[in-house]
Amino acid sequence: MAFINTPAATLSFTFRDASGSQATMQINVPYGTLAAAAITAADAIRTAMLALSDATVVAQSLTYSYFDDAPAAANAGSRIEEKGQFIWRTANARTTGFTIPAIKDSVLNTSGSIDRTDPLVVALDGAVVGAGAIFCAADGSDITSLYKAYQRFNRSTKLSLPADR
Amino acid sequence: MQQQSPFIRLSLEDSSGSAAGVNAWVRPDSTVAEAESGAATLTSVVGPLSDAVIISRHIVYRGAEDPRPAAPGLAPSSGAGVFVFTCEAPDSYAIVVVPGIRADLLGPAGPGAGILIDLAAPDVVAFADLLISGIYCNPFGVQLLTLDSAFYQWRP
Repeated sequence: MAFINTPAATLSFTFRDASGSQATMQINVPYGTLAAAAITAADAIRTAMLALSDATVVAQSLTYSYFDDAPAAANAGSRIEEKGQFIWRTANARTTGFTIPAIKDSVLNTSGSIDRTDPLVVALDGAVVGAGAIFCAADGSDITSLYKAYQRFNRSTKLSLPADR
Repeated sequence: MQQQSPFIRLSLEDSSGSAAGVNAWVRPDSTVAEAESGAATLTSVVGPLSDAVIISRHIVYRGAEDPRPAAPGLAPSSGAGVFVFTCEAPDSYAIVVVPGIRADLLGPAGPGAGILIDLAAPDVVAFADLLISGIYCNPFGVQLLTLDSAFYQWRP
């Protein structure tokens, strides 16, 4: 198993017309392009496209993707609806968080909270908060400590129900 | 265009084939190399915590207009201009779709009237020149070489 990058990064633009309907456009740049250079290229092509279109661009994104070329099988019975919810304190006294799908039962306390002394959880905490970590909240504020961690369940969607039901 | 904080998205798949993600923001000044390193670290600590398997990871730099500008014309976004480029490698092409193509760029006469886009229109020439001379490429990383054709297509 190894994560392999795609040959090119993707620039994606969201157009919005006078009725409010949206459409997207994509173009690629070589994978090795620095983000700053790719965003400059995005600005250039956005201007050129706007000269051709009656719609306007309301958002854009630059995505670098990697795929596992030989992923292992998921553990039997795993369900993405079972989440590990991690909420972190930030330097500006707010919180941010993410969920880990199909959280392992072995890191849960009987109450459903996550065992913060479990070595796997300690490793996650170290990666998110520790020295050299680059993670932050959406507003750019640094993450300072783990605030809450617990198991939660999302409602199954039609797509996430078993295909052979 | 206001640049937002970039984020890392890990995509996980469970034993039923359903997929979900972990989204983690990274510092706004992070380079791709730094974000790649962060994504690899996150992969190494999230993977052991989950019974699902991580199948892909993405680094996303997103921007949004604030406030949103109004559309300058009335053409619907479903009415697209499709631009077909030949790329540098043999038998390699790129298709670029521009939503809401202006009606006045469509040829007014002949068998392609209302369908073919005027390749000599100054805005079309500028667009094609930019794509060919810039760093843009097709999804396989092959640079664009020439604009072969362009036409109108309804893409609901």
